[in-house]
This record gives sequence, C-alpha cells and structure tokens, in this order.
Amino acid sequence: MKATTCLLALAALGVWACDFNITDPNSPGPIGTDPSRADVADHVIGVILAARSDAADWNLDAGILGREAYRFDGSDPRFISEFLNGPLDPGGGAFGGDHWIEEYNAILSANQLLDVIGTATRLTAAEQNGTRGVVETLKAYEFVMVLMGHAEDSIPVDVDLPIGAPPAPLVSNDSAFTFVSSLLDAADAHLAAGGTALPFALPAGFTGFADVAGYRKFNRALKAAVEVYRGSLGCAACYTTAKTLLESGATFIDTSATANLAAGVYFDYSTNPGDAPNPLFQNPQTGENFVNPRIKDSAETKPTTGLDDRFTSKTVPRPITTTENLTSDVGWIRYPATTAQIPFIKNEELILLRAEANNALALPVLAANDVNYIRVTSGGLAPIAGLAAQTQAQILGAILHERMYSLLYEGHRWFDLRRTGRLGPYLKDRATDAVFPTLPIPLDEVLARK
Amino acid sequence: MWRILATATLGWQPVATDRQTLRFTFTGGLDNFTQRNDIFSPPELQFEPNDGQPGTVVLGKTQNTNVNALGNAVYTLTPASRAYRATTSLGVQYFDKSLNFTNLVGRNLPPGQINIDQATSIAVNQDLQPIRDLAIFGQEEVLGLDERLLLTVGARGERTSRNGNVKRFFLYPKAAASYRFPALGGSAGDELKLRAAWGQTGNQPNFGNKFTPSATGTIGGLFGSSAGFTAGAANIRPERQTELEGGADATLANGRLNVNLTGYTRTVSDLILVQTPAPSSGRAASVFNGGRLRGRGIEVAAGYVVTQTPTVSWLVHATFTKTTSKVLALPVPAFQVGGFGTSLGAFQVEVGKSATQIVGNDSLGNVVQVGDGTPDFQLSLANDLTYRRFGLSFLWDWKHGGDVINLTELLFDLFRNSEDWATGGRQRRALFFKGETQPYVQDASYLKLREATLSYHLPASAVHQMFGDRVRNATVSLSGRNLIRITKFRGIDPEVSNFGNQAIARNIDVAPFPPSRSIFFSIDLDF
Repeated sequence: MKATTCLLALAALGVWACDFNITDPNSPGPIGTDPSRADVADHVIGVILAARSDAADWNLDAGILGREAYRFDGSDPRFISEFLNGPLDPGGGAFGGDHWIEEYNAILSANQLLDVIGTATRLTAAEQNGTRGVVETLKAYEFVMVLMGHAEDSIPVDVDLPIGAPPAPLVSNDSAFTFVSSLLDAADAHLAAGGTALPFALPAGFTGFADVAGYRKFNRALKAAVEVYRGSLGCAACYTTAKTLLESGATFIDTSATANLAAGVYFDYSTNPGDAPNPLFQNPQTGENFVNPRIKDSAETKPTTGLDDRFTSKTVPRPITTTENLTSDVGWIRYPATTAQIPFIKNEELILLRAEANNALALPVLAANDVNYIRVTSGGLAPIAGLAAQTQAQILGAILHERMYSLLYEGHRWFDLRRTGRLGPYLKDRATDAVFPTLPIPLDEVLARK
Repeated sequence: MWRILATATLGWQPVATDRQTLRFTFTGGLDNFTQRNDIFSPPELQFEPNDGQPGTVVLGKTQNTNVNALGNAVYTLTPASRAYRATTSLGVQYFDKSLNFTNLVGRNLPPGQINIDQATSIAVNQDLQPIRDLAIFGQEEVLGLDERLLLTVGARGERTSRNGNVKRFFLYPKAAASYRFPALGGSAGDELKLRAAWGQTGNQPNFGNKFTPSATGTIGGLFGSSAGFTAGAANIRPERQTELEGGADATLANGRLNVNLTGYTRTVSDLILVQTPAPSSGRAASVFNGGRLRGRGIEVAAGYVVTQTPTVSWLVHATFTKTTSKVLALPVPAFQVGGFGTSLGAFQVEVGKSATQIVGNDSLGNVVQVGDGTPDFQLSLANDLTYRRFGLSFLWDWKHGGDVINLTELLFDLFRNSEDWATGGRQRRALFFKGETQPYVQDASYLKLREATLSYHLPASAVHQMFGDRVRNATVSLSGRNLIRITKFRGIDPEVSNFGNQAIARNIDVAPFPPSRSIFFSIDLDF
C-alpha cells in the first residue's frame, strides 16, 4: 500500500516537473539580435527567396493584363474572365488582389534583418554596411514591383511595424517612387562603405555581382530604371539622373563589341530539395500558357528571312486553340527549362532605358543609335532609317516596341504602356474586354483600415 | 495502418466502511498510431501536371504517440442519518502527445520505376507536434432529499505547453443542480427531472499558435530563411467558454416515452482567432486572443416505444437541433476566412453577424452577405424494429437550410456542360460575369438515409451446429451508409467541405471527393 502511494506521489511529482517549454520543432523563428554570420547569410538568401516567390506569377499576370500572354486554364476561369474582362476582384488573392502580399512579405523579411544587423558583433562594420546595402537594394526592388502593379496612390511605405500595430499610412505613387529612389541611394552609400567582399555567398544568378563593387552596379542599374520610370511619370529631372548613371560607368550597361545583352542579375530555379522549379516552364505544345497573337502579328521581318529573332527564340508555333473567343497558335519557350532564370534587370534593358532617357532629353540621335543597336544585335532586324528625325513620341513608340520584344514575358509591357500613357481600347481582343490601368488595392488591405 | 492501445488501472481502497469510503485510482494509457501512405502516379498519366517533371511517387508516414496518466482520489461520506451522500473527488491528469509526420514526394520518374530513389527531384516534408498538458481537478457532489436533489460544484485547472505562458494554470469552475419528481402522475415508471447547469471550459490553443515560423527554402543550393506568412501569438491563452444550460427530462406513458428538452446559451470569450492583417505588414495571418462569440441553441430529443412484445418491437428516436451564432465583439476590423476571394464567396467574421456568414459581390461590386453556412435546423429520426430474429434499423437525417459555395457548378457552367446549361446554367454564368456571387452560393438542404442495418440472430441450434459450444450467440447483418440522398443542391454533395474539418470555412465545394456510400456485411460472434 505504501509503495502504491509512493508511486502515485512520484508520478504526480514527475509530471509536475515536466518541461512544458517546447520550442518550435519545425522551423526557425524570426531572426534575433546579435545574429551569427550564418544567420545573416540565411536571411539575405531568405529575402531573395521571398522576392522570387512572386516573380514568375507577376510575369504571367502582367503578361495577360499587358496582352503578351493568355492562360487557358481548365480549372480557373479568372485568367480570362477577370484579367481580360473584369472587374478585377480586390478580394481575390491570386488575381485582382495579387502582387502585393508577397512583395510586402519580402520587405518584411528585409526589415527584420535590417533591424538587427547593427547588433551583429560577429560582422565587421564594413560587413554590416555591405549587408545593409544588399538588403536595402532588394527591398527597393520589391517596392518597385508593388508600384508596377498599383497606380492608385495608396502605397504603404513605412511598413516596419510590429504585428497588431495600425497599418502603415498610405502615400501617393509619386512619394513612393521618391522613397524607392532614396532607398536605392542609401543602399549604395552603405555598399560604398562595405569594403570589397560581402560576408555571404549569393546564388548563381548574381554571378559577377556578388561582391561589393559588382552589387553596386546592380543597385545603380535599378536606380537608373526607377529614374526612367519616374521620368515617364512626370519627373523631368529624373531622366538626367538616369542618363548620368547610365553613362558614368556606374551600371553594367555595355554596348562594346564583346557585350553580352543577357548580362544581368537573375532569380535561379531548380528542382533540388527545398528549391522551386520555374513555374513558367511548360511544355510549349500542351501547356496552359499561350502567347497573345498580337505579339506574333506585330513582329517584324528580318532582312534575310523570318521574323524577329527575339520572337522566334522566345515563342514557338503550336496547334491552334480557341477558348472564350480567344485564339492562339503560339506557345512560350521564353523559359525553356525548370531551371530557366527570370531576370531582375539585364544589359539589354539598360540600353533601352538609356535610349528612353536620351529621347526624353531631346537627344534623338543617341536614342536612335541605341534602338537600332538592339534591333540589329538582338532582333537581327534592319535599323530604322531616319529614326532620329522622327518625333519624340514616335521614337518613344519605337523604344517601347523594342522593349516589348527584348523584355518579352518579363513583366514589363503592361507597366510600360501605362507609364507612357499608351494603354487603350486598341488592346482589347474582344469587344466586351476591358484594359485595366492598375490592380486594385487588395480588399484585406482596405478592410484592415476600416 | 497500425495502432496499439494499452491501458493499466491501479486501484486502492484504504477506507471502506458503511459511512465512508476512500478510493485511489491510477490509470495510465498509451496509444500509438502509425499510418503509411504510398501513392504512385506513373509518368504516362494524363493528369500528371504539365511541369516538366512527369511521374510522382509519394511516401508518407505518420506516427502519433499519446501517453495519458490519471490519478484521482474519491471520498464518499454518508452521515448516520442518511440525509445525504457527499462525494468528493480530487485528481491530476497528464497528457503527452507527440505527432511525427513525414512525407516524401519524388517527381520526374523514369518509366516503370516506383522507387522514390529513382526520382529526379525529391521534396521532403516533416511536421512535429509535441504537446504536454496537465490538469488538476476537484469536485463536490451532494445527493439529498431522498435522492431527488443532486448538487454539484467543481473546478478544473489546466496548463498546457500550447499556451504562451506554460506555467500558468487556467481555472474553470462549474456548478449544476437537478431535481427529480418521481412517480409522476401516480405511475411508478414515470418521472420528470429539471436540471440547470453553469460552467466554464477552456479550449486549448492549437499546437503552433504561439510560434511565428520562418519560411525556408533554397536557391542555387543556398539555404534561406524569410518571414513566414503567419504571425503567432507568443502570449496565446485558451478560449474560455461559459455555458448556461437548462432543461427537463421526462419519462412518460409508463416509461414508453422519453423526452429531453435542452436550451443553452454559450459565450466564448478570448477567442483564438486567425485574423487577416493588412497584407502590407507582410503577413497573411495573425493569431490572437480576442472577441466574443455567442451561440444559442435548443435540442429536443424524444424516444418512443411504439410497440414491444416478445415477437415485435419498434423504437423511434428523434432529435431536433437548432443553433444560431453571433459575433458579439471583435477587437479588429472584419476579416475573411476561407474561400477563394470575395467574387467566389468567402466567409467573413464581422461584429453583429453570424459567425458563418458568407459574403460575395453584387453586380455593383459591393460586398454583401449572400448566405450562411449554419442550417435553420437539423432533424434526425432513428428507427429500431425487431421481428422475431430479424432486426432492422435505419437513420434519417434532415438538414434544412445552410448554404454551400458551389464552385463545382461554376466550373461546369463556365465550360457550358452543366446538366441544366440550357435552362439555368447560362443565366447563372451570365450573372457571374456581371460580378454577382449569389448564383453559386446555394441552399444545401438535404434528406439522407444515413444508415440502415438489417440483421438476423441465428437460432441457438444453428449456432451450435456451426461453431460448437464455444460461441454463445451469432448475428449476421447487412448494413449500409449514405444510401439515399434527396437534395436540390446540384454540387457533388451538400455535406461537403473541401478544406476538411474547419470551424468556419467548411461549406465549399470545388469538385471534391464526395462522401462514399458503403455497404458492410458482418458476422458478430459472442464467445
């Protein structure tokens, strides 16, 4: 009897003493103060991963909205009903309300690291600055992604807030672009104080840009793009800033004899464990994603024979398919493998950005040179004779035409047409269609502010 | 699937007199459950995704071990006058659960290969859920007034590793009273019992509610960790449910009729909610305690012995339930849970509204309520008939009202092959394209023959002949589930929940796997 009592008492005591403090066995928590070098490296890569999560989806959705692509999806009609016909549903996280939370999640990831990087005693001051510069640049890029999709002057910028705090105030797109521009400058200043090597490795898509000097060229290239965007949205002085950046050797723009137009910074994909395959890769003959036939219709013919090299290298004929009065017989090979990279920014874009800045600054000869360089080098087309003598608007039209083929299926077309005021009913494939100037602010964002 | 269940009970009664007893009981239990899933989808199959990785093999293994230990002491006291009997119980309960789920998905298989080792790309997923709970409880029960009055008061303190503060005991008191009127109306078998109870209980947080996990992955062979989409609440605490219940149980007509009437109102405070914060915070979900939800309901149950003779018996049992809910307070703006966006119907948690309201768009793009998942009422009717050696039992379920978001029909309508395309589908589709959600939020009332069993007790001689002396009784039976369904709902099944067992976002139908109709033939032997 005594033994039983003792057993009971012991059992009760043993249970009492059990450690109830169970930590999350499935995943690391948010980064804490004084992170190790490995923590810092993991979280830098984490920001790139978070940024990558929306890259392909944006290219597809902006491609549909900008009339580069169709998606005839047997299980979700909204790629046609919503994106081409409307209305855009701000409550649909994968459609009208998309391209927002993924970007802000990447920005949150960046902010979490930026908040503690100053406490990282195991990094030198220069290494801390290098990390800041790298992360701030990625953060700025994510804000650009938000701005490319949303034109409603309701952009939260000051979002480094604890959970449960009132949502960040909304600012106009113009203020947000100014913010992004200064953030890129702040990042560049941090990189300038960042020594020579970065305290972490970057993925293969950053080859050539993985040290401080190289990464600064990526930063300055993004800044040039942002300044051209701002220019087209009304900031005349911004074109000068862009021109200066693109002509000072600060970026990786290259039109020399050995130039590689594809040189740039890319997101990597793979089928390795934990990694993601490029979702835009599909069997081009049977996949759900199609090329909008207007891309084929407006492709120019080469002086030799055949269509624009950029068109023939990124698309392929496929059996004609009709759904909902939409027809296409062209498939995508822009991303021809599960490992195909998606660009952040590349040399070919920088050359066309320079053309755009020069054209806006009334330097048509310089602009025409770059346009024709791209036409010949990238498209295998003939130069446009007398382009420099055309009007500024005509030259801009030529630049946008080249951008369409040089940056095909890379998420630019819709934003290019919007920022230059060229969206219009002419883009409709069916009379009942609508051409949208912006994605709506997501319903959850609106509800959270009520 | 393998399952091992084991229990051991140790009892000790040091005091056992006419007037007092004291008894200690210790119970230990173990439940170990292992499940393995193997899925093989060869590369040739048409439904393999067009992702450049033909062929899929899935190898899943789940192991769950529950350990339960309960120790309690019960003391009863009956005074010499025998005016009452008091029972005092005290106890400690410990519960330890560890769930280990692993899943391997191999893609891109060479033709003919089924071994996951042969897959070109392998994704691995593991989920661990260790849980520890501890509860102490005490209760005092007094039975008096000639066993007519029963009074109970008690309290339970609970702590769990799932709470933010793992050391704190949360206390839940309860009290109940009932009074019997025996031999009602002069008939010995009839009686009426009135009862009332008030009590609090705690709903523990789910495992992981307190954690804010990072999202992890690799890119180019480099490991990365970024902010996860869900923010946990480091200070999460249990929901507290306060219930007030009153009712009456009556046995009438010489014990042939049994009626139970219950009405209750239940308020849950400190709700554990998963709110959708402003997405510009970078989070899609944030867990927190807050708000109050009220549920009210009535339940009527009645059983009647229609006839009972040595050869024939017929028992009928019916239950009627009706519940309503209302969100009384919410410390955050209204938010949506579940669904695929407002245009396709979504559940929205909003102050002053039913917790299961469904909202959608109207043709002007306004967000309006278009339905409610909670039914108006539910009625079930069970019948038990025996005739000599034959038995027949069947259960009908009737649900009236309660809406389902029928996206299966939307898919059929979109591709113009719904059954009623010409008479209804065309109009529904046209309304949907005008932005209206309503056509696809549909009434899911139904009447179902849930279960039916026909059985036959073998005569003793036949049992003896077949099984010898060892078997005392033998019954053969044929039973079926989900045999008849009468509904106007045009989706796969009105009881569907595409996303499993959800508190709120249940009633969504997107071409799911329907409830199966099953037929069993069984032989029961008594040794």
